[in-house]
Amino acid sequence: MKLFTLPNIITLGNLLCGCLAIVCAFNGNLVWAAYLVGIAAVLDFLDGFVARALKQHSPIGKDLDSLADMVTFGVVPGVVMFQMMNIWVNVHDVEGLFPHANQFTEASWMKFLPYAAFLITLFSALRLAKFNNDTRQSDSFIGVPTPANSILICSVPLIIKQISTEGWTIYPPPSTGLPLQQLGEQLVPYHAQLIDSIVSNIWVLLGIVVIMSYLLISEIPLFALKFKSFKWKGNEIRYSFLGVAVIMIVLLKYIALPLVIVLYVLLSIANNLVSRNRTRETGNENR
Amino acid sequence: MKLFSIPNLLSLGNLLCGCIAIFNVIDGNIGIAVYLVLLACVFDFLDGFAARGLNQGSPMGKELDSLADMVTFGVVPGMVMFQMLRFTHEPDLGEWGSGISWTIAYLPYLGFIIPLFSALRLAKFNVDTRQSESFIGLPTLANALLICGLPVLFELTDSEKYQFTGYNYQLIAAYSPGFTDFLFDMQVAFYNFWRSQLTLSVVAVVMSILLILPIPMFSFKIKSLKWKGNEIRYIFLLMAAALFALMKLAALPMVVVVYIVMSVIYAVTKRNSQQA
Repeated sequence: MKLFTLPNIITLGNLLCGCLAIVCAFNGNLVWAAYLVGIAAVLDFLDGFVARALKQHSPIGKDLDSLADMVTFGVVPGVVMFQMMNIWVNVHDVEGLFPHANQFTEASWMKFLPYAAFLITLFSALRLAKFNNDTRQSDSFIGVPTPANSILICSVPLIIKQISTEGWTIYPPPSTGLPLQQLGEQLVPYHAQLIDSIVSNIWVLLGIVVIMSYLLISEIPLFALKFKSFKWKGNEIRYSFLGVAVIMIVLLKYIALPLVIVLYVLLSIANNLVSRNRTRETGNENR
Repeated sequence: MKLFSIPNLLSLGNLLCGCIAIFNVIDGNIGIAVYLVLLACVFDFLDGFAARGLNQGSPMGKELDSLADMVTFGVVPGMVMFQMLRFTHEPDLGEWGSGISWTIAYLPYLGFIIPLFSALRLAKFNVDTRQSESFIGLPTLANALLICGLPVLFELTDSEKYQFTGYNYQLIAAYSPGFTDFLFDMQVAFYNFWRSQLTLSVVAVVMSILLILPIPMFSFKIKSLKWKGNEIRYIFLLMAAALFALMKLAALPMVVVVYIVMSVIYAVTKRNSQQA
């Protein structure tokens, strides 16, 4: 049994990124935590790829991959979510420690609300444990994969950073002369504030936690991006999804990330409905 | 496949303790984190017990247990080591003391080899079928207890009881003033030795290697409560109880060291007796 094969070392790199991201997130640097999750996602893709290319499949490698995923795509999103909720709790001063710091003083039990963020970690663990023992998942996942969940949650701090530094920019920029544009620079901070207040609201975050926790262990089949061939035929949904995703990311940058994940889930549901109808039709014809 | 069975809920409790412990470690409350790790140990023991008792053992439960162990007994000690290395300053920076040396800036990240090797160990353990009565390689739980026990031990040695500043110190100072200087030097030397980044780094590396070395370690899955066949377990438990009675929680690192040493001696004598 060889421990230090190339795929395993790449998996350990994934795990190291996860550990660093945890430290970054707890020290308040959520943006860097999100970047590290991005690097880890690339490494996670690479280790499977290298293992297939070098034919170095091993049960140890599979287990190690799942353990690394647990930290990077289970603990890190939980911690990022915890910090975002904690920031909201501190800004709204639920303990009433800083009477002049803000306008609202909320109930003090709300200071325990951020711990609900660890539901993400718990359900990621359930999903990974279920996934490893489920033989149905070859070219489709059942339930949202943990990296997708992780990207969705870690995109929130990136979006807040994007709109606070660049404003609400869309490429191509809206031409001058539109009525909205005449409002001038006031428009940008208004939108930034609006999106910030929606995205960093604790109840919205709690909603994301509950929905994502459910989706992680739900029985919805989602198509996987593992290509068996690169032909258009049979890969229609993968290519069209990738095309739309690339366009959205180019236009909207980080704002596109959660939209892409939502699109992924919706496309998968649509795909299931279509293929179910198709099998029903062919079934009727055969009869 | 039932997701929310009692053993699985206990495993999730273990995982939750781990998550909150990580938060407390980074927040600077290592004291709370140690208690959370101990609580997680209880959960870890209970989930296996419940699975056997309720006949709910499943491959999924085993996998979940291992994932929870990864966080609680892999990531948490890594974070503790990171924090210890980060807040350990070399006593004398000498001529280059004006800037921050690379050891202060980068050496703390060495702490993360503990999660990496814990992951390797857990992956190996899951696949290895030889491990029924004894573990092969140091269990991650023992490693976690040793690393998380170190801050408690440091706190104890820092407290007044173990410092040469109390009544004894004054007594010695009254009779032989020169000797106190020697004692003080010894104390500083001891402090600097254990608190030095070098020693902590060596501990991190040695524990990491022990995690994946194929040394047989005795486990506590007892088949009977008889003395015969369980000698080593009973002797170890007595020694551990004595150490805890003397030093309370600060005995944790010592107990783990005793466990490692006894396992090695046991393995060697067993091999010799088999050869004879």
